[in-house]
Amino acid sequence: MQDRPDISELLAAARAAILDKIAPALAGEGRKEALMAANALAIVRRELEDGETMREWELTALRQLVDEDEDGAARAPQERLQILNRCLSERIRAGEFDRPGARRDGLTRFLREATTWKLRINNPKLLAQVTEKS
Amino acid sequence: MVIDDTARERLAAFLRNAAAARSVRIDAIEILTGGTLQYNFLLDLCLEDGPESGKRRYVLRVTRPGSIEGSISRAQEFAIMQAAWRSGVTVPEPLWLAEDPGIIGADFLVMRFVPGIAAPQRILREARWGGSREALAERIGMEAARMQRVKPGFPGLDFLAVPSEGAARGLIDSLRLYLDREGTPRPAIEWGLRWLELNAPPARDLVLTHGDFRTGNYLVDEQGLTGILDWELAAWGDPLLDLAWFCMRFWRFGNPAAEAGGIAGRHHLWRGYEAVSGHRICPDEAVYWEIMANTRWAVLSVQQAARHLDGSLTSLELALTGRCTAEMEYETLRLIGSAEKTGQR
Repeated sequence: MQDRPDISELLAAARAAILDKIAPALAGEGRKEALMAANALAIVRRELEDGETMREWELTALRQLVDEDEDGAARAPQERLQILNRCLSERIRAGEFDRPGARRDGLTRFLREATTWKLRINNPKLLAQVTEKS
Repeated sequence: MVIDDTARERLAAFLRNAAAARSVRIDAIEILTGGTLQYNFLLDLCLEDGPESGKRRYVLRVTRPGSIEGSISRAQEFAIMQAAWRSGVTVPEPLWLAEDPGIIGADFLVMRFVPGIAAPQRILREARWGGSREALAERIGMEAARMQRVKPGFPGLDFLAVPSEGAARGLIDSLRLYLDREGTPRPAIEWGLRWLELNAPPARDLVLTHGDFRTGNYLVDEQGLTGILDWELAAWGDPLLDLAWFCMRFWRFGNPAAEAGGIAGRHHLWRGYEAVSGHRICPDEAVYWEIMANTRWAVLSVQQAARHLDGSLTSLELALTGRCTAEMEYETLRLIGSAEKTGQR
């Protein structure tokens, strides 16, 4: 069994070092790079914690919009997501969701939730800002 | 990128000739900004005779070796800046063009130095820059209108492709083409593109669009606007594209209530545009083009991340841009949602 700190704790410590010690010692471009590195670590940490739940949600939601055959269902989750998203993209472009109605509402609901999931990991601050208003 | 002593000599000879001077002394040449597509050098010269005689300051803009396909050459950028300059746009005066890569290692252009800062966070947070915010936004609207006096057929701009089926259709096609080449399926962007296709307004006369018209790409001093920069994405397009791009949430830099680039309400920008162009902006069409702007930036963000991922330019900033795509997707969906609600009323 691996010793502590665990991955999340280690990432948090690295991020704190960048923000509290490294960035303040730098100016200009260097400081900007350091802050970006800290941001990248924060994204990684959130994805480590929530990525699995996001993938499971997305697989279930996609399968309500497009069919998946047995072959597809036997593949690894990441690959299944690719295939299902590709299939959905092609159908959108072909005009299958043009007509107003339940099917189209289902699509837009899925897209909004899927982007919300991405924002939760990539930019939760922005997500809080946009959901606060609506 | 380093400009060594022999390159300096070749550069001085080129400048002497270009400026019709008897002699040119390079007092300083230092890197100003290293963009992702080109470098800008600050150039201090002492010229003897000729129209530029005296000690003067310029900016030398050189193509970054290994730049991506699809970005324009310095010669093309020079022609676009000249067209904007002649139409009265506040742009650093383009002076000389060197298409010979043998001088300093890549083609370059020289423009007059314009003082000011461009960093969005400073313009937004430090009140002393840019003068009155409302006046700045209005002025930028006026600049957009002046730029649009340049239309297809303008001398020297034949290299810009004319989208034969109109600006919206042309953009939708080119964005889809890029998504297909990149290969990752992106249903939210696809839905944006499909919606844009179904709701396209009738094609209008094409005008010169800057292509990346936003806070961060103009210079201000303590009085106001001093120059519009970075013309490398210029193209023929719809008159509302630049104005919508300027107002995208992403370019408000954390100040969402100030729709016009984080500096003022959008009506200030529009007022300036309407005063100079004589055209009234139709709010519904502005929404359409803001959806287009978000969808376009979503695709361009994918493209930027790809430059990091394929190794053509390793950069954390470009990598993180790939994680911004969802911001534009979210905004696109939100804008489509509210446009449809308005439409049903």
